[in-house]
Amino acid sequence: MALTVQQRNIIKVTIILSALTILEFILAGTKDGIAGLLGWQPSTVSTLVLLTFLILTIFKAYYIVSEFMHLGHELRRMALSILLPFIFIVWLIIGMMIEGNYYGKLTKQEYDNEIGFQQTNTPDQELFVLKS
Amino acid sequence: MANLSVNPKALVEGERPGLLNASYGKLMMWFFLMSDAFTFSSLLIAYGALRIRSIAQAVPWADPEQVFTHTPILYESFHIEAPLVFVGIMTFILILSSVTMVLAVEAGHRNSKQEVAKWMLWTILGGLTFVICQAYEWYHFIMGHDTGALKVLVENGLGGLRQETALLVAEPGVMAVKNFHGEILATGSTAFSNFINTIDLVEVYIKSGNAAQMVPDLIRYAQEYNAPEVAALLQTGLNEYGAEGMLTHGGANMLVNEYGPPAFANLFFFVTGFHGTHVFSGVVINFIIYINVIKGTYEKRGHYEMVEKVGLYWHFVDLVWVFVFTFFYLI
Repeated sequence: MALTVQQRNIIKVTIILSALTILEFILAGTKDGIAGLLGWQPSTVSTLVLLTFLILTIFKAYYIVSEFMHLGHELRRMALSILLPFIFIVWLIIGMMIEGNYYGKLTKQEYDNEIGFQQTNTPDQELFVLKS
Repeated sequence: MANLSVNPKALVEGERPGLLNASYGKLMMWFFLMSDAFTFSSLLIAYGALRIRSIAQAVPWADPEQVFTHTPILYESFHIEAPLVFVGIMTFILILSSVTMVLAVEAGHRNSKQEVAKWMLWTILGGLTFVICQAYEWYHFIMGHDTGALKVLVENGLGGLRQETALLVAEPGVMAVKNFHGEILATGSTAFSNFINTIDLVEVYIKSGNAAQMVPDLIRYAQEYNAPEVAALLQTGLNEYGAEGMLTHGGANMLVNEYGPPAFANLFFFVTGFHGTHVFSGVVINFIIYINVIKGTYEKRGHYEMVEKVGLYWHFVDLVWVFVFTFFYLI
């Protein structure tokens, strides 16, 4: 059976997606080995591996959306009206990562002040009283 | 306004290309997928924010390579721990079912009813296999690993904020408090009792092993290592519940888990559960469309656009898994 052009394209994308997944899997299994082999700091290697994972994931997402979901072959204005709203997600990612780090570094007292609660210890129970 | 009125026939027939050169049904599917993508993004961003907060608090997050180690056959027959192998297989199953779906769409463009039916069936089988795999994974996530250890739930201050979990490990001659990564936080009499005095012990679990022998041993070790609080707590538990009553299998629930902070298991359940719900509903929708293909509904209609629409949904489920795979299992 002769393959159509579309089928050839599907097979190509399948191979790309599989290769990227296998690459991610191998990287996850060997990152400690890589660190030892190159003599780099484990933290440097894990940061690089993390960045690689993110880039590979975005590549996979691009191929799925563009080829499998066919968005790459739609009108440009159609594709943009789907994709542009995700700018807000980029903003949310940056915002929440900063926020998570900030809350993690607060001491317990700073956290209490931050959320406006005040803790009172009584002999048998702890009461949480809202600051007026 | 007359131009904007919707021809009811067009809704079904997939006509009316309009400004975006897409039918009404396809556009609505895209809008739905966008809103769903926002939901999944929020969940994954919550995961990221809580994980970064946890690291900033110096509370170690779970290490996926030590959590997801169960693989069918390898584990049951040979007791081999193979990190991430099973989840890799699951990812392949989902990607392949996405490929069969796109082949069904392609066959639909050629109006080949038999080929569409064939590829739809493979897609449904792939989806079902994935859901079954996820059930296996959940089972082992909830039940946990075999190694025996004593679990102490430590709660500092406000609600869940400074909640920590540490493993209290007792082997002959050694009593130590370890974190999830097996690093020793405190050992030896002075360090140990100092550590114990800085925390509020809330609950004690025996993870697995021989509880009837382990609990009295632990009490003895705790007394030897100058930790009367632990000994007293264990004794209370022993009196109230008996050694077997204190036995749990570790693993995970909504309040405590053996892998990392409680939020880790909660998010695992929520995100993979929500994704699994999508896969399951995708299988159901695919099945309905499959029946329609067999019945010749789309052949009569003259085009297979409905297959394209469910195809969009199915690829989206695959797309979400690509992100879940990266954030939950790889990083």
